[in-house]
Amino acid sequence: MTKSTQKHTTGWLMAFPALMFVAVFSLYPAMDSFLLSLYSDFPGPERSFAGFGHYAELLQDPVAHQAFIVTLGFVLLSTTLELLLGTGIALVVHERFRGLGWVRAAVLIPWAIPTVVAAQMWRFLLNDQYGAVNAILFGDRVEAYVPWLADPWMAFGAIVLADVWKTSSFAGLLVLAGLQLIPEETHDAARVDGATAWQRFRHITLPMLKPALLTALLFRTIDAFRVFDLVFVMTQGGPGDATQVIQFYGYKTLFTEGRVGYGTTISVTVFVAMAILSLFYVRTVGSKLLQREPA
Amino acid sequence: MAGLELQRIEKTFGRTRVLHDVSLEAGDGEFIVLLGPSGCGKSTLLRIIAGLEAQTRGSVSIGGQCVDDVPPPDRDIAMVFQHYALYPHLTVRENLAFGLKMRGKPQALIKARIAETAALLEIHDLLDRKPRELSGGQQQRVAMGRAIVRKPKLFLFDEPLSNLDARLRTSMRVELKRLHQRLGTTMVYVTHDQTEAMTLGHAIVVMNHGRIQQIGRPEQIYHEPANPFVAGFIGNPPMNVFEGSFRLDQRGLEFRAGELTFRFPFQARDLIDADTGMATLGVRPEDVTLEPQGSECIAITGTIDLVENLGNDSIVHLMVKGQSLTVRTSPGLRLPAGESITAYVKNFHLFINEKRVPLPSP
Repeated sequence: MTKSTQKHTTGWLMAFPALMFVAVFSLYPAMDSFLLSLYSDFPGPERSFAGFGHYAELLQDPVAHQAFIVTLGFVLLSTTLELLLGTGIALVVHERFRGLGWVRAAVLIPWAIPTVVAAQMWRFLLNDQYGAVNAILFGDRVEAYVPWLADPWMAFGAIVLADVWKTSSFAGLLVLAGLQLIPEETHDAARVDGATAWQRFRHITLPMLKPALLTALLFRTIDAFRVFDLVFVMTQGGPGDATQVIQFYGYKTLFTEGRVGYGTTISVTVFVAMAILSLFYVRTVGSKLLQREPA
Repeated sequence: MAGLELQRIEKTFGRTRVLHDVSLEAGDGEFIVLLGPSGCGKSTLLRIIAGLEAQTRGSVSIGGQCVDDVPPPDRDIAMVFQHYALYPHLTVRENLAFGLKMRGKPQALIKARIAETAALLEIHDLLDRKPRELSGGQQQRVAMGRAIVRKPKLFLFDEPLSNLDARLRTSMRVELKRLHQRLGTTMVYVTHDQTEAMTLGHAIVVMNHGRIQQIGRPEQIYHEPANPFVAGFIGNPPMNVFEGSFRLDQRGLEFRAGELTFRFPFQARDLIDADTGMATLGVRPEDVTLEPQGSECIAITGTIDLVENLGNDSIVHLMVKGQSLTVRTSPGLRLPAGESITAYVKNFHLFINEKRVPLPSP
């Protein structure tokens, strides 16, 4: 054995545990899901090979299209709001003032609560009969109570609201890290240069915050695309299909209807879409992140 | 008339007072250097002049006008920062243009000013680069360009050369001096480097613990330090300092610091009358020579402890009766360690109660 092949072998041996981990917990399930999606719906000895039949079905499925549009709407709306609100939070928390520690902690609490718990809480708050929202808005005028989660638009809004409430602080945390990388001297230089507070934000802070904003955008879009638990707890995709996001549709198809082949097809499609999106981000945003300017 | 006047400036952060009753004046076109060790309050004072920090008490006037209530953008000043503080996402050209743009100056004027500044600092080739593509020296030049381009009434420099290597620092120092001669604008320059202070300033303001220790021309600060702090801070190697007391007898005046005595061949009654006991006697290493001198010098004998050869001269460390004495001398002398040698002191500085007391030449 030459020295270089020996070195090569040692390298592979060293990487083996990690590779095994990835293979068993990521690669195998993904491949197996893909294989499942190529077979007829019901597993067992009588299942038959279906090829890309399920994928063809997915392209024609109006419910899937609707779910995709709902998901896209959710991603766009929640991500935009979270970045805006997150930047606002970061700007406030970045300032020095009395009680800052408490504000920081308070801001992070929603993020620390498990999503299922948060979703349950929002469902309770928005309940049409005993929910706190109705009680606060209308008090004793029970006849005015609004069934928030029964209206298609309002239910959709409620899910976006719950997500924004829960994860804005995470976006804020990422933006805050970016803010803290901007040296104080740079702000001072801009002040001496004659920039007003707005000009400083627009021409100095915002451009220098770009890497942090892009990171937050990356995390939030990918996360939002996978939204499931909020919908599962708050609306079960309803009313009608108004809040049925693609992941929930996949879950329903697979576990409620028992259509293993078609259900996994939806999952695999989401997986591939996410992989493409991540790759796109890493290529564009990631390369920019790597050559970020020294602070 | 665009001088600077500070009247009784005080600054406290929480319970810590960082500036005590600081007053000074700079005439139009003067180059003032604030010199002191780190933490002496010099940068805070500069930030107060810029308006980036508000003074707790006192008042700042620029060009004869009180600017206490004027925010930094309207003070018509420019500042060069220690870490340059260039805008990393903008090109050099955009960095230079930023201040003018924010003030809504017309495009044509901005273009002309950039061309003028680039020519002055020889940075035309860098105009389309981003700061990260520049070396430290180039960034420093751009930072200065960003200050110059606005043609302000007053320039403020916050240790601008401290991040450069020694060679570059020397050349930038010369350039800065030339620049000042050309622009003729009032400049306030903060540094802890005495060489920068001595070479650049019309006047040096020596600070320590938030107080002004002395204001004076560089040669004044060097030859007539107002107190032991200034005496020790200026000069390299630092002044030899001896703590002791005076005694007057028939033969003249005697200074005693432990075992070490200096005998002065004159009667200085006024001096000894003023003395309350302890005094500080200072001797600059360059005021001591190892070559035999006449009776106008005071001779003391010691042993050679260590010799540092600097090329153009040598620093000799002597032990004299348990006290160390540093001597700056020409490098040609053969000085083996441990050997006994006589040193001749040409000049003394005397401080009583932390204040300079002029001594008649020996």
